[in-house]
Amino acid sequence: MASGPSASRSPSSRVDNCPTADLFNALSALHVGGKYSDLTILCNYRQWAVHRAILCSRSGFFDGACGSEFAEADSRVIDLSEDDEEAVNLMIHFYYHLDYLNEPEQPRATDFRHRALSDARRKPPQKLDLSLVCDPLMAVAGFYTPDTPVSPVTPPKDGSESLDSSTKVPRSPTRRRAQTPPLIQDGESDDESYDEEEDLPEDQANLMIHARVYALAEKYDIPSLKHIAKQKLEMAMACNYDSPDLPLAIEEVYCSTIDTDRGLRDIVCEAFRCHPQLASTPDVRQAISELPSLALDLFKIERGIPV
Amino acid sequence: MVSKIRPPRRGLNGADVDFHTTWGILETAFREIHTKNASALSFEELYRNAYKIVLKKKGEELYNRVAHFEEQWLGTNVRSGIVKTLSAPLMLTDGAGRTLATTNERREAGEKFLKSLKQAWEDHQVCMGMLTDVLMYMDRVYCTDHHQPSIFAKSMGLFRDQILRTPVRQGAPTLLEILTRIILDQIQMDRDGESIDQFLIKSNVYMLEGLYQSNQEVEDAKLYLKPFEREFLRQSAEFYRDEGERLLKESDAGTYCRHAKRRIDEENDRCRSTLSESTTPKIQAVVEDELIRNKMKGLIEMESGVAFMVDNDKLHELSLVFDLEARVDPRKPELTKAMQKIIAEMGTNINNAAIAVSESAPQTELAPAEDQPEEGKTKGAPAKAINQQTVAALKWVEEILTLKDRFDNICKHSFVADQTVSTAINRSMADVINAFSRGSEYISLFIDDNMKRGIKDKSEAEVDATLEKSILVLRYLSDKDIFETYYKKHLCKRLLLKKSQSVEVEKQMISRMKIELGNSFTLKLEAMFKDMTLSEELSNGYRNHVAGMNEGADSRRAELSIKVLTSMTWPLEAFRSGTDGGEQEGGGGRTQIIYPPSILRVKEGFERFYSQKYSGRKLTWQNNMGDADLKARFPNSRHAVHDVNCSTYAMLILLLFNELPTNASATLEEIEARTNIPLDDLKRNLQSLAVAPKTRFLIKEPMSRDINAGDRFKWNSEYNSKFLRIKVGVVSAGNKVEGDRERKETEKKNNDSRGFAIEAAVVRIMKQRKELAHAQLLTETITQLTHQFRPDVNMIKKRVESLIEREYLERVEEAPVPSYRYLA
Repeated sequence: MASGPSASRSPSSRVDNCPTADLFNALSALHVGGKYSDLTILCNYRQWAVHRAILCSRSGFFDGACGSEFAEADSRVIDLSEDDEEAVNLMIHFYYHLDYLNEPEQPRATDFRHRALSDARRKPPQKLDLSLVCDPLMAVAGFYTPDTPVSPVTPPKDGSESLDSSTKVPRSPTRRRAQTPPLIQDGESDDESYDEEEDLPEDQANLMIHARVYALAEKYDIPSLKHIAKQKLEMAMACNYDSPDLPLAIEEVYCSTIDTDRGLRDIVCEAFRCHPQLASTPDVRQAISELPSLALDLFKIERGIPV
Repeated sequence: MVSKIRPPRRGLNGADVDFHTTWGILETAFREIHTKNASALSFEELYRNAYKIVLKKKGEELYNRVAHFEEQWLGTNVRSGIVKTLSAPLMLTDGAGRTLATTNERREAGEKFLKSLKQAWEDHQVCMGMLTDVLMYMDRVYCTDHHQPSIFAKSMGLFRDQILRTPVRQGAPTLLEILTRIILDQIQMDRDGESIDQFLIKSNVYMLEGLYQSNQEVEDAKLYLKPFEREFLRQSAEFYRDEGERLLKESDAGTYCRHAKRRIDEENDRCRSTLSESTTPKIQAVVEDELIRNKMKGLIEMESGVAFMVDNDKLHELSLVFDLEARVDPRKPELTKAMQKIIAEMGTNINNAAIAVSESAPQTELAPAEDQPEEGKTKGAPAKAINQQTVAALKWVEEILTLKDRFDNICKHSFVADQTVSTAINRSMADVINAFSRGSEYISLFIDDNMKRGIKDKSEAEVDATLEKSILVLRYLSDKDIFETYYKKHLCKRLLLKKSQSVEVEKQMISRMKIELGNSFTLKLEAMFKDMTLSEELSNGYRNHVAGMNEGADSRRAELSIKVLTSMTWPLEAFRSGTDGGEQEGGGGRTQIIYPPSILRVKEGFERFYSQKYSGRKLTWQNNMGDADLKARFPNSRHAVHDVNCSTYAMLILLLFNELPTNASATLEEIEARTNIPLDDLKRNLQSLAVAPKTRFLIKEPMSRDINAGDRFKWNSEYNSKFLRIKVGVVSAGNKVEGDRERKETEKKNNDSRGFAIEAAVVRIMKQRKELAHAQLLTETITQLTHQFRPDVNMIKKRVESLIEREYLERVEEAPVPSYRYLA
């Protein structure tokens, strides 16, 4: 699943030759540039210019919203303010990249391939677009973190390209996310999203966000996203089960979907099974005491009853 | 680092979802949706609310509320609207449920009802589509987990129960019954030629197709199939049964066919335009049953039925009948039966006519028989010259061919050369031909006549056609061995008497038969031709031999042209007089002809020559078949010398008179004694020489038609003829068609040869199988022999019996079924 986005890393010759890469490049450009957008997603103060063709064809919810005779079909605006902004953002990212939170080391294409070429021929870029600049120094200085759980999902076959020093530098996903442009590129909006990011702890294992994306995918009927979110949470849980994020993530897992949805619940239970010491943290303990169904699951594990 | 513990998210963690409030929002929205006011509603909000309810495990309650809401809505708001459109013309019925209103009134009222029902259905579909979108999460999670039908399916069931299955009022029919009645009524109008709104009906049919009888949604329990389609088919069957009966009485067969075809097409179109395509095969079966299958017999036997069509060459109408029956049964049994009957009738007529012609012969036969000697010479009045039997044979073959052509034509043009029907027609033709006892003989006679006269002055193509015709008839004949006997006889006569117009055509005929009947059939016929060629070589050889021997020393020596015939190949008995064949049986017992010395010399000369060439072969002279060229001088004739061609016997008689003094006479007995010519042949030859006016070389006393014992003959010195060449015919021995006695004899011989063929076949089979059941032996024998003739089962039994007696076979005692064993 990561092969697509990784291919879009070098938008030059490889894109020309590989149709998949070409498509991903084009989708990326649509995502970033919002060209031909015919639907707007709102979430509090953020908004995304998206495409009905891409969203509605893969989600019952968006199809229903745009296809029936409700207000959204006419206004072409869907307000998802009730949902978590970050999760919505990742969901939209997924629509265009078939993945989320796996950070490409090179800037993504922001324009169509043919346009980029012809524009380059016609006139030099008038404004320096920082998102297009690879600055290894800045990357090393500002955003070095130990291997994030994201890395396992980047395919190992990228070895040949990792000669470029910049590709070796894992970036903070949050930084990268900040640069996926909101629809309005003025300072105010930029600041807003920036503030939001400052809130997030830099060492977080993303447990929480995966659980939220999972719930969102369930709510809006996007099975493939659900699947990816589950895989990512599983990976993150394996690496960062001791994250301070855990109690919240557990609560999210047990509250955001119906009881019969075992997907994430099994992952949580597995974590408890492998690391019984987890339950000794006060935060986790409190979460257990608040979630009877989790307590029941843990009881069953203790007694060896199949969950 | 900010706080790690965040407050619970709104609406997700706490039990803050108040079902009633949330449901209230949804219910209001649903009401708006049903009144087509959805455009102000936020889909996201409704979806979120429904999602929350389900997430909070209130899915079941939500589901039931929605169902209840729909039930209420349909039952109160929708149904009343539809019931209102049920106007008087639809409800006014007499006791039998028949409406009393006029067609026009009924149509308009019906359309109004159909329109409102269609509208209600379509609205319901649209609204439920929207509700389904809103309640997507409920369908996906609650309905799947609890095995409930989707809310859409549920609401369709509600529509069925609330709208269609609820009586209009107490004791009145349900809307479904009314709907069925109205649609059927409209279809009836359509059948009667009035225009209806097909699309409107189709929309309602769509509705019935979309609904199921129960909530299980079994595919073959659609509302359309069960009450509606069944009723439709029943009513259609009734309609077409009546219509078919009426039409059979009122119109002719052609019109009926056209009408039936049109009705079938109409029903097909109706299924496409008004009802459902899935009904097409069913209604087609109904129409086919009622208009074709059940009426075919009546249709064919109508006064204007198949027989009439055949009689009047109504090819197109026959093709209509064919098309109709082909629809219901690929074997076309009724039509086939009818055609076979017609052929059998026509064939019997032809056969009877032929017998009548041949039996009328005896009265008129004497006169032409008299003229027969001149047949070869006189070309005038050929019809008179031809034997009555030949006339019958020619007529029969021609008529059979015409009959065949006629039905072939019908088959090709009306029955698209259908395999089944043409096979049946062929079988009937074969039956007709084989039912005629003289078939084999007549076919051979037909060929004989054509070979002698028919193909004269004809182009190659015409000759070809004639040959083909004979083969055509021959193909049907089952007793091919009898035909072979006759053909051999006729061919023999043609070859020896040089009656054939063209040896080339004869050979063509043989090669055609070879293709048609196989090698073994023509083997003997070809041998006859071979003998002819060999004989010619022999004659030439002998002539040269004679010339070389005494160098023209004896120019008066008679020339000899000889035909040496292999004795088994040639049916020489054909030349023996039919009247007393028994007496002349066997060449050895025959009295020795006394030849005059000049002839005897030639005969002996040739015998010497022949035995030099082929030692060990015995020549038997067939004097009765030879002929001779003489030079005759008559003092008072216009010509000094006449060339006379006559039979060998006539030559002997004439040479006898050469030796007598001019006015001396000889009695019949004297002539017989001096020549040793069999009395019967002698009489016939004397008849030609002394009675026939044109060749009266002798004077007979007393002058009368018949030759009797004691008659005297003397040289006719007064003979005068304007012709230089005179051919003396011989009153032919027997007629061309056999007499009864001769036929019996042929039959007997035939039976004997058949007996041998059967024995040979039985032995062949048993030798191979060693042991075989009786029934199986019979069938195998019959199969082996069919290409020759149709063996009689009794005959086979007798032959098997005789083979057992002669210890070729024995019965197997212990076998469960009667069986035989081959004894080597």
